[in-house]
Amino acid sequence: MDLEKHIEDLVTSKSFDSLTPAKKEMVLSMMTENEYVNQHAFMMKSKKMFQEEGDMLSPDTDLLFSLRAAHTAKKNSKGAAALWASIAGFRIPAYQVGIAAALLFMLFWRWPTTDLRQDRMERQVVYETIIDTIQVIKEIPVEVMVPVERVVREIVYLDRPTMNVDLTLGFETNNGITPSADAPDMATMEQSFGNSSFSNEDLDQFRVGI
Amino acid sequence: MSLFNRHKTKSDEALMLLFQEGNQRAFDEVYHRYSKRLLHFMFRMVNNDEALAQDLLHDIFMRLVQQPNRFDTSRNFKSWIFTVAANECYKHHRKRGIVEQVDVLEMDFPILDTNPHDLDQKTFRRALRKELEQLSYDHRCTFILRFQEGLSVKEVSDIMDCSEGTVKSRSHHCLKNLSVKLAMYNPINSD
Repeated sequence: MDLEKHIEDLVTSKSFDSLTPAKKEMVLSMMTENEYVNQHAFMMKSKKMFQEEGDMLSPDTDLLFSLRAAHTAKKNSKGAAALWASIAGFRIPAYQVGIAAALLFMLFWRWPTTDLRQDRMERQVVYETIIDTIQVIKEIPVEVMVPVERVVREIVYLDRPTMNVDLTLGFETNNGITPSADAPDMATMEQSFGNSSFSNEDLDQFRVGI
Repeated sequence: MSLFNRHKTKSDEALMLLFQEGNQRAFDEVYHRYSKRLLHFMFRMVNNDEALAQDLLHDIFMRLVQQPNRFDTSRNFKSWIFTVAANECYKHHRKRGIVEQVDVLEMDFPILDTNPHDLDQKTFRRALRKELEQLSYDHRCTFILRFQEGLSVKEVSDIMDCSEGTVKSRSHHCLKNLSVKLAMYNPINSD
């Protein structure tokens, strides 16, 4: 076991290459070189990790102050306890205590002088009206304007366009021909057709014999 | 030499003797010597829960303030205070029911099929934390006390209430198995 402990100490402190030949031989009697190297590297990394984490951790700053306060409070309570102990240790003879108790009894005790029954009869019953509130639920109709969007079809009726016809005097059309109340003279119509740009001969093709 | 500096040269046991007589400066010195170490130890023991470790540290020192006479000045203070801390951690583990009963000898070894070229200290830290969490309470406590806190085999055996041989055996197996499990982080193996 001592050999194991010695090797453990070597592993935690020295690399395999830095060992003396004698120590190497001792190590190799217990483990291979590879095992030693692995264990040494593991220990080095672990130590580094422990060191880093140890540096990051620290006790709460308030802890020491609270401990000091507790220590002071304990000291003070110790003083009070000693005072109470000294008081409790002070002995008084029993007969003195008895006399003191009898004096106190005589000083404060008195017979009742009033009639208790009379007190009971004079009692009155007092009725007290308690006005409380009740809850009434009233239904109040409320008109609520709710905006609703909808499609409305509007039908608009318009007056049909009419023409003013003067049956007595005739009318004038868009083509400038003013009809006459009298029957047209067909002979004249064959020769001329208003203000048309066509010649009379050109219009022959549309004429029919009447 | 001021009074405070004079306390710095005193042994832990002498300081505790002074503290038991009501000397607050002696307590301050004890606190400065051990608060950080105990916090680090418990931080590791409670699976890196810093808030919990702070709470446990507070409880330990508060108990020390309330009952300083619980410490027998004929004993080694370092072993005693670490025993108290280890017991607190163990109580917490039992209460939470997270005491791992995995024996270090029965742990499976990982298959080294990953390329370890870009593995750095951060990855190693995470892996080591995970491996430590998987250790049994006794093995983890032994490993941390031996290699993190740098306590001697005798001190660890006092704290763990076991023989020195058991401590040596546990630390040897932890070192061997963890170094194999985390061999991928060794630059020599990664080449």
